[in-house]
Amino acid sequence: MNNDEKYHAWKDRPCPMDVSADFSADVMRRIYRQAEHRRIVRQNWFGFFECLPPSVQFALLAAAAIIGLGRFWLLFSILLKP
Amino acid sequence: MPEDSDIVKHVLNGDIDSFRILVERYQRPVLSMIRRLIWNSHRCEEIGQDVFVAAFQKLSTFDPARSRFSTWLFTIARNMSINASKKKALIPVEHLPEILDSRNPSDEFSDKEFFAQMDQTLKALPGKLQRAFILAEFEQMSYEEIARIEGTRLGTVKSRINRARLRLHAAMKDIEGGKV
Repeated sequence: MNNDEKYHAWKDRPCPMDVSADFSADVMRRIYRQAEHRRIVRQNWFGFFECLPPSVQFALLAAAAIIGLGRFWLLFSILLKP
Repeated sequence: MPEDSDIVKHVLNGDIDSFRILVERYQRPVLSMIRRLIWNSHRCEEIGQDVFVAAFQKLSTFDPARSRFSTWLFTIARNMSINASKKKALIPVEHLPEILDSRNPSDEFSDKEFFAQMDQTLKALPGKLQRAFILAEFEQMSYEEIARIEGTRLGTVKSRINRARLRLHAAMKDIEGGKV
């Protein structure tokens, strides 16, 4: 074989791909598991929260923190009194 | 045979089982591409599974107006192959099988050696050149598709493939001349 033939023989080598018979079944199993997990998660409050975009999550957390701390306004006002 | 975009619509409307058609349609090319890009057949099914699961998770972001489903899927496969290669050295380094015919044993040996050295040269190329060459020459993808997968311009892809070819030809001369 000359150089060109060798180059083409190298480049055109078939790549034997033995895809296991269970490949698609395994993928689908993982996908069903995830879909089921997502469905369960969405059924509770935390799940609902997880589904929200991060910016909305941060906004809700910030609002909750302000409301929560607001309950102690009397304590804070006494402590921070000049 | 249903179109990919129709299947995607079905899946997004809740018919998860339709995704199996896409998996079966693309499992071979996706695994072949991963195997070539990571130079290892042991982990390619594992990464291939991750690719399809990630594709399912991100399916709502697929826009048929922007690209074909296959290109979108190959882009995920390309990214996950790069990540897998970065995470840890994929050992053992494999050479793809050689086509050897029944000529005399010394010819066979020299071909085997030649193929191994060409594989090493290709593997030593910068990732961008290596991927462009593999996708074009081994996976027979069009330059346009490679440009979309790599997220670059058509001219850049052509230049990368050309540079890879030049380096391989230079290496080939060195191998023939016994410098390697």
